[in-house]
Amino acid sequence: MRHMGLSFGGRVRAVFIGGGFAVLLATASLAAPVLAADQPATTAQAPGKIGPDTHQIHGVVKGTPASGATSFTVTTERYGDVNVTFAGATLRGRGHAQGHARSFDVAKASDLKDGDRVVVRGHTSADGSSFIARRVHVLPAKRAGAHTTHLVGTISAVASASNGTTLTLSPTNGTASQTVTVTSDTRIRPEDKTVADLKVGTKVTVISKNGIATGVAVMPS
Amino acid sequence: MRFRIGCVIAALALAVAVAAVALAQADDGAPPVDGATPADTSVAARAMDQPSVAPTLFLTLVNPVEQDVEVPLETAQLAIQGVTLPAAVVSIDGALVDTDDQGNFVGVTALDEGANEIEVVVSDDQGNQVNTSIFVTRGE
Repeated sequence: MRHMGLSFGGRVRAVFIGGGFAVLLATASLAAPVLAADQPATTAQAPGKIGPDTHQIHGVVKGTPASGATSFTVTTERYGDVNVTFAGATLRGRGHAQGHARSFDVAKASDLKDGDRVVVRGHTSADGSSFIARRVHVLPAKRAGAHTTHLVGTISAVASASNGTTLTLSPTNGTASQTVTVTSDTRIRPEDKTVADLKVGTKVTVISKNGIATGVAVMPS
Repeated sequence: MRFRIGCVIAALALAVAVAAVALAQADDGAPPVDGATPADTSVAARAMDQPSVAPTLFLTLVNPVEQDVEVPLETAQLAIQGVTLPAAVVSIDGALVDTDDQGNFVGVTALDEGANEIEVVVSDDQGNQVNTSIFVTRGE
């Protein structure tokens, strides 16, 4: 094999230039996947798609279905807007349980209204374009104070009440003082703490649901 | 002969480059093998890198993993298991739940027939909160 008549210096330069290109090529090819992995995954931010493994969706009804409608749209966090086909279902007798509102089923799409929070059981259509509902459950509307709250603050006053002990809390976030009542049903943690440990100056987290203090966690001082 | 020496030098340079890239990949940190607790490992890493910064509050559900769950009518209770910061306060469906010193928690909640929305809330001593809901359908 001839070397095109290059001098020794020329050959050395050729080798280094060739080697340099090889190094650049190798670095680029190996680093590309690493750099690509560092980029934000735009596909992960887009809503997913319902598929053969989707048997339940939850979300909010978008628009009130017309009388006689057999489909409606549910806005979900996971899948975006999902078109739901619902031919109807036989209702089961359900009322309220344990003193609180519970979900109820609807017999037809037109029983729904805009803003209803629903859980829909069923399956994805063969072409993946819609969710075929077998049953549609309407969740209780979210009322103010109906969901769980955690209030972190320092006890500024303690008073006896007919149904327990009333605590006045100065919230850590600087908002206005709030009053909560601790009853015998309120769980106090850690295990070794009792209502007698809820004194002025004690930092606590009060857990409330439907306006009732269900638990008090005494924070380390 | 000189040409061969040149080729050997180029090959060595290539090997060094490959090793450097491999080391860079190792420094970036391999993805967690245990997919169930990614947030746990990431928070631990952050806490070690930046000891003066308080770890960020997080909530990872271990069981159930999915937000949408169906159980048979015979299942009247559901155990919910998760991980958060060790000092966080956890409630499941409004009930205070204990955490261990690793931030693991387990709580059991009663299920009504039909659809149930179970709210899991964690908070830290600064008043920060993270919450999620699980939608459980019982008896279909």
